[in-house]
Parts: sequence; structure tokens; C-alpha cells
Amino acid sequence: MTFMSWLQFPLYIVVLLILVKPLGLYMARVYQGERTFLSPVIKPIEKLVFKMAGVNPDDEMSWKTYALTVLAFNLVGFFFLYLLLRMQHVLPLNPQALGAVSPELSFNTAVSFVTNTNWQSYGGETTMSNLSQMLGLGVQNFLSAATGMAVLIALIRGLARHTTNKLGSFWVDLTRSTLYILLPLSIILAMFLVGQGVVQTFHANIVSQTVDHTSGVVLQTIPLGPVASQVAIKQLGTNGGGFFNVNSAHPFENPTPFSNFLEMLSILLIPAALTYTFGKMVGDTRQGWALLAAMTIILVLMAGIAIKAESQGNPAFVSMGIDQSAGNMEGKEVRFGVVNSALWATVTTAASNGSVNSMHDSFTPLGGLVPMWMMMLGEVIFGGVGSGLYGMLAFVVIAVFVAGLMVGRTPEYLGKKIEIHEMKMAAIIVLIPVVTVLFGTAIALISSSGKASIFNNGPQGFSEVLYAFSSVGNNNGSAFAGLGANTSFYNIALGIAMLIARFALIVPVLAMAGSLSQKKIVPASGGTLPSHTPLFIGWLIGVIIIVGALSYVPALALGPIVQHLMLGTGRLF
Amino acid sequence: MSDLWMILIVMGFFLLMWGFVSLCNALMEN
Repeated sequence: MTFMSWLQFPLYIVVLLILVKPLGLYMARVYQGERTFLSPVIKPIEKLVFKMAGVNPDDEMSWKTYALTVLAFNLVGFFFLYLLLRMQHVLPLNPQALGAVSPELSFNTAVSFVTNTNWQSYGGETTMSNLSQMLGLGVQNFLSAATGMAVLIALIRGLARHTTNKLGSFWVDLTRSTLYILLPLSIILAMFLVGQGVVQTFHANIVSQTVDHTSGVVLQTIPLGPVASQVAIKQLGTNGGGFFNVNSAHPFENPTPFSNFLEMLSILLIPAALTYTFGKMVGDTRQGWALLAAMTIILVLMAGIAIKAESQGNPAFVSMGIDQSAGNMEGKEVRFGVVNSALWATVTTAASNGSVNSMHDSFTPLGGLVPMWMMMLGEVIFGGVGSGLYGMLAFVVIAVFVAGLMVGRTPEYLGKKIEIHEMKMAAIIVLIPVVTVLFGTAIALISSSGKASIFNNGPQGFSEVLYAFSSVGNNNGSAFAGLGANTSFYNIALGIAMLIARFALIVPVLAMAGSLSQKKIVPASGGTLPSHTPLFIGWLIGVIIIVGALSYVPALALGPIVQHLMLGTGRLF
Repeated sequence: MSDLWMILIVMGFFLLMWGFVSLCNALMEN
């Protein structure tokens, strides 16, 4: 690997970290209702939206009302998207004359986009009309992202406030997330992407003659569509659902190394900045920096392992005479190379994004283990917009509680005592994805319907199923892609897993917020465990790794670990 | 499977979540 290709890794981390404070500060001002530089333009629109919806921005909600509102809103969103997909064949903006999407696939897709997972059991350009992509999937990209951010802000208020049961208004948080943050950033990113050559058109697909007719293929259909606008929110909202089947490996979704850098940066931009927003809103930015440090350390370590594994290439290919000097280039785009592909794979699975610029099924066993493991950690290493940080805060509660037990002090975090109810909710938040992933994988592997979709044998086939459930069980959405997932079994099983992973976590998060907001603030004393020191950061990392390891190492041993050991003997699957 | 089954699955899930909200509330009050 050349020095320039390795340089892209630290360059990415540095640029990301530089942007954390300015964006984080802006978002804190938005959520606290303070004036920002965009207020003159957006405030009138915000007021109009509230007026049309009959929302009083001063009406705040208890945790229970907030949770029920989130559930009701997303249920309506599901029905709207489901109907759109089932009716797309009779609706406008369908130049490709695509038929209605089947009931199971519509269910899976609607659940997928409402839950911010964006698992796609279909190829976009051959399944979804332009209207479905824009009005259905694109809109849910914004709303699901805004939902995650709103829930996080409710939790932050729970930590920041005391002796109150009010956590803010879901409608206000949803609207402000969309109007002040997601829309402006998406417009800017979309314009940059169009400048790089990402297509943005309502023109029908082009049919052209191929240059080389020796294969017998004379005509080729070149799919087009309003891609740039969808890609922008796909990345910024940690959605991940691409316009095209191969996602950001497609030259019309991601044409250049610069578009690749921008798209990769936008995956972690808002989740990283939200750590600063958190610190600002609780009145101690050191808390946010501590969480950012923990996330960054794990990301850098895991990205390093993935890049190293892919850079070394596949030893079995060497014996076949295939040049591995550029690393394992199977399933990778030449314009991106190994470093950008492995880095993207780590970043997208750290963030619950799930977009890909290379085919994860083609990674080496250790290279493929990294994205799988990143998802299994609970998507808390930056994680999804909002959902990553609220998941991380659940781990913080557990870390504080266990540390408090070890030193014999009452556990407290940000002046709030961590008691039995908070621990119950934190345990539910951490364990629900684990149960979903492991049970889902087990059911798939013992059922004939589940096994029928596995086309690779041995540990590779096992890994594909494990990866699929790890992905949906943590709302990521990426896939190993060797699995035939567009079947009744997988559409329904994975859909149910996505629902559980999203909403069965949002409820205890809000419950924990409601409980915390009612507590009094206890002033720090000599016995208080500081939660911004390197010791606490190391402890937090340890808790995350240990919980992930205890939960998943047996499953990983059956998949990528045994496959790596067998690779050394020249055995491929 | 038909549209009805898909809708029933989702409605059933959200009803479960409504119950889950009540459960978490009960846990908080105990």
C-alpha cells in the first residue's frame, strides 16, 4: 500500500473531528430554541409548519406521551410508505413502468425505512419508481433520522433537567431536526455531489449500444434518476439505502474519490457532532468530549484492523497467481482501492448507516469480522443519528453503575443517582439487540426456509445469516449480500427484527429519560466518580467491548473466526 | 402473504409497544 492511500485514514479522522464543535454547537442552539444564522430563513417556515399542524411549541410532553407520539407517528409513516409501494404502478413519476412492489417486500421496505435501517432486499433501479424513491423512501430518510435525533434530545433533557416530568415536544424536536439540520446539510451535500457527477434527473433510463458486441449483448440499459438528493440524506441521516443496487459502489452514486470522501464524512458527521451537542446541553462539554474519545478510539482501532486485513490480500489468491500487491481487490472499486473500501465498511457499520462502496461478502474473514463486530457492539460507536448516542448513554449508565458497585459508592452520573429503574432500562436497551440478533440467526439456521436462501457453504454462509440479523438487529442495513433475502421468510423475519431493534429500544430510552428528569441534582463530592477522565473513558470502552464479546464471540467463532483459520490452510468458501 | 397479514403484523407489533410503554411506566412507579 502506498503512503498516499494510508494517509486517507488519518485525514478522514482529522477532518471529522474538526467539524464536531462547530456543528455540535449549532445543533445545541437549535434544540435549545436559540437564534441561529439560519433562523431568519427557517423560523417563518417552522412557525408555518406548527400553525398548519396545530402544534403549540410551548406544550411539552411527559416521557409516556413522547413515546406514544413517536410510535403513532411512525405507524402512520409505515402505512403511507406501504401504500405508496403497493400502488406505485398506478402513480406518476414511473418512467420505467415498474409494477407494484409485492406485499412482503413492501412490508420489509416500509419497516426498513421507517426504522432508519434501510435494509434493501431489492435493487432500487429495477424495483422502485422515482416517486417511491423520492416521496416514499426519501421522505422517510428525513423523518426516521429526525425521530432518532428527537429521542436523543429528550434523553439529554432528562439528564439536564431536574424535578420535572417534561421532556420537550416530539413535534418541535422533529421539525427542528428536519428544517434546521437535515435539510440544509442535505442541500449542500447534494449540490457538491452533483458537481462531482452524481446523476440527478427525471429522465427515463437510457438504452445505448454497447461498444463490444462479442458477448452477444448489443443493447445496455443505463439507469438514471434523482440520485444525488437521495444520496445526500442517505448518508447524513445514517440511513444507507441507495438508489442503485450496489449503493455507493455505483459510479452514478459515487463517481470520484472526492465524492467518496464527502459521502464517508457525512456518515459520521452528525453522530460525532451530537456528542458536543450533548455536552453543551448538560452544561459540561467535557462529558461530550469523553464520549467522543471513547467512540474515536474504538473506531480507529477497528478501522486499522480492517484496513490491515484487506491490505494483506487473500493468501489463497496468491497461490492461484492473482496479484495481491494492491491488497484484496475482490468486490472493490478500482477508483477507491482497499483503504477507502475498508474504512468505509468500518465507518458505515460504526454508524448504523449501512451504505457500502464495496461488497462486504468479498472481504477477507478478518476484514469482514470488523463490520460485523462494529454492528454487534450495538451501533454505539458514533452510531445512528440520535440512536448511537442514546445507546452509548445506556452503556454509560451501566459503566457508572458497575464502577459505583466496585468502589462502594452510590452510582451517579451528571449529578443524578443511577438507581434500579435506570439500570433495568439500560439493561433492556443493551440486551434487546443481542437477543434479536442471536435468536433471529438461530431461527433462520434451523428453518428450511432460512437455509434455502444460503448460497455459500460453510462458515461463509453462516456469516451471511449472522451478518443479516446483526445488521437489522441493530438497524444498520448493510448486508454481506450473498444471501437470497427477498423471500417471504427473510422479508418478514428481518422486518420484525428491525421493528424490535428500533422501537423496543426507544421506549426504555424515553422511560429512562423520564425517570432521570424527575430526580434532584446531587452536588459532586469527593466520592463522585468523574465521567470525563481518561480512566472513565478506558472503563467505558472496556464495558462496551466486554458486553459485545460475551454476547457474540461464540457466534463469531462459528463464522469469520473459523473461516480465517481455515483460510490459512487454503480453504475457500 | 397478503396485505392483510402484513398490516396485522405491524398493528400487532405497535400494540405490543403500547403495552411495553405501560410496563415501563409500572416498573418506574414500583
